[in-house]
Amino acid sequence: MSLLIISVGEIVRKLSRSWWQGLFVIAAVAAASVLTLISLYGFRREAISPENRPIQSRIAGYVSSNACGACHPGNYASWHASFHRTMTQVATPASLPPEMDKLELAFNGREYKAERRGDKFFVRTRAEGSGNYGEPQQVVLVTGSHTLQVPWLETGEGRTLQQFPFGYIVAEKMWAPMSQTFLLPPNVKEYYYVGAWNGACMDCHVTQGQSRFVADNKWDSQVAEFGIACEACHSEGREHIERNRNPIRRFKIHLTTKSDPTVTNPASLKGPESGLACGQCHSVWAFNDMTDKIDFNRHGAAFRPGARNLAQRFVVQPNAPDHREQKDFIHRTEPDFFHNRFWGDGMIRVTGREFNGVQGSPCFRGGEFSCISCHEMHLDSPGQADVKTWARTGQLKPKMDSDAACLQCHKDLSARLVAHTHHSADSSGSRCYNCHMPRTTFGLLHAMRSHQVSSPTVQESLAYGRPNACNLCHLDQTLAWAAQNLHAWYNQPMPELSQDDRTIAAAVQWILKGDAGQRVLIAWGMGWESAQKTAGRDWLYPYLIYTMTDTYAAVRFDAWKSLQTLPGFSDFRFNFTAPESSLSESAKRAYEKWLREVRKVNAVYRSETAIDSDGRFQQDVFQRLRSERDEKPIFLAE
Amino acid sequence: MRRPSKRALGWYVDVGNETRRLMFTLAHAHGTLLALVNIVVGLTVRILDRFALRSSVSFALIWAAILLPGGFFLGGIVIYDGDPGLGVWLVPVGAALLFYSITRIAIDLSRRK
Repeated sequence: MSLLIISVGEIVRKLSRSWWQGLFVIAAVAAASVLTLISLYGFRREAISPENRPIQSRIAGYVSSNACGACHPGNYASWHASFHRTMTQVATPASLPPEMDKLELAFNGREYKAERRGDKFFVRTRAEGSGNYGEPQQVVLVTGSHTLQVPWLETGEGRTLQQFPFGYIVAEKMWAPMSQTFLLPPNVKEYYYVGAWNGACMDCHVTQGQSRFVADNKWDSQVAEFGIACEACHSEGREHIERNRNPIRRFKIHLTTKSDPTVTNPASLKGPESGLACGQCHSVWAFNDMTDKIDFNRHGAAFRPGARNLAQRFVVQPNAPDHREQKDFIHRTEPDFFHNRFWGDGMIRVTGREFNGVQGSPCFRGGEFSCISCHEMHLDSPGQADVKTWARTGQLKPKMDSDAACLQCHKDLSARLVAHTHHSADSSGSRCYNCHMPRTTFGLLHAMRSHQVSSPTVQESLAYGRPNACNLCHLDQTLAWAAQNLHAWYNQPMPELSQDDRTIAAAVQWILKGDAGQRVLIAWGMGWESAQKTAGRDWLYPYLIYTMTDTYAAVRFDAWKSLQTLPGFSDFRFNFTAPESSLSESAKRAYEKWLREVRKVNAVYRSETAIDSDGRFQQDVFQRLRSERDEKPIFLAE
Repeated sequence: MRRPSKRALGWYVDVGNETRRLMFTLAHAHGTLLALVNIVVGLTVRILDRFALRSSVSFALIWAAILLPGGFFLGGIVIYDGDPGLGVWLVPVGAALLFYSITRIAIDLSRRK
């Protein structure tokens, strides 16, 4: 030590010509040392992984998107702008909904109060009306970003998470109980159990998650990266990076048509394999057996993009001949599994599982059709919109929101469009999507297009209750009307129909006596501009206003949003999560407004709409249909 | 003046074309610097007595001034994500010529009586 001091003294003496210069050198060295120590402390503090939430860790072979961005800046930028990236984020002031620190909410007998300390957010809870709030729980993660944001709380049990029971509806800038943002029976108050994020959500909301069950609902979850990052679709990147440090190898690949075997590019795969890269998450899947489930839990997915099957898992197609044993097991152990996800003919009915629909489409059998026939995960196509528009419109390729999507293969139809559709060329009835991909799936509070390309039939509505494409647009027409046209135009067999099916509009029947799954699709459909142009707007008011008192919150929400699309109601405020008495009050207010201010005095209502000339429900029809309502619980498990 | 199209602008300013911008920046910088080197060498020859450039040095210096910035420029025209185009391989050739010419000049200057 003394030697060191002598040496330092000697250096200082040599560097300085006077005592004050020596002092300056010592002060400079001391200041540099202090600054270095502070930096090291900060770095170390950042490097320490938090213990109250799942963490990103070095999972074998995975290198994270930062490593990819260095060589693929364009693809990195488009991915960064996409909502795949933000499917799960660490909770920060930037990732959480605005003004979360001012939040005070109550639901199901409990009150919740959020607070901010620095960049961290906490939530305290107490029983409604009781004294002090309990211990604060830190908000550690947030899932979702552009439609619904769901904060997750620490539990004190390792990395196990608990859901904050409210979600933030981005478009409405409002918080709502999570159970009311899904199509769930009204008696279901809590949607996610403690540990649900670790046990279920992280299977798809992160890149290569390992949920790592410990014991007693305690988890030690780790992920390669939060959100859906590069390696989710392109496989792990370590080998790719290591081998491509050699520029000669890179140029060999650039200058030939050879693809790089160290990485998967779903865009160059055949349809089924390419689709499965998306389908690893965008499908209803199940584990092959308990061993595979445990393996998935410990080591993450064994599936890698490019493979022909999901390894430890399989895509559940109710009517397909594969995995019979497993599907029988699901039937026995979870009887509602299929009903909560599929229509009776096996067509998917929940949002986010589009690969089930794609796989069930006749187009898929050709071997070329896949998700990237219409979508692109990076801004590759010439003429693409700006990155924000692209991200907000389903990451579609240019013009893929038009007939061009189908005409890629069905080229002959463009020449005989009107002969095929029996609608004028500029009609919404001549748009391929409207007939072959109608909005019969539901999730995140809105109806979405089915991704199972199919042709409309009345039989699908009679046998499985699925609103057919004709009546989803021609809301004021009966099933008989649709059946007659489908028979005349496409020689479809005429089904046997009831008296109601011949005299009352299909949409009226569905919204009054249908189950919640049908009601929500019609409530949304009544706000669809094409349907309003086709079926008229005047008669929709009373149905939408009445539906705002539905027992299912999601149905109420869509009825309200559709009502807002009608003249006179664009700024109508309504709290779809309010208690029943308040809902009735709002509906009454809306009805009075319509009757006195908005309704056209000379409006004519078709008899099929069951509205009389005064604009009131035909009471006998209304009461009868309402009393016949299918009250079976509907639980759409998105 | 016609406004450049969005696509033409994107060819240069899009975030995915960072490599192209870097290549063009390097081409610009090297072109300027090598022009200055050529001027300095020319002035040196003019000012100093009994000092003449070898023809090989003159050749190397001129071609270095073409190949170095030219390689960067061509490398930026076609890019492969983070990699420049094939034209960038002209850069090491230009660099070797520059190295030869400067070294040769330094040796010749040091041997000058």
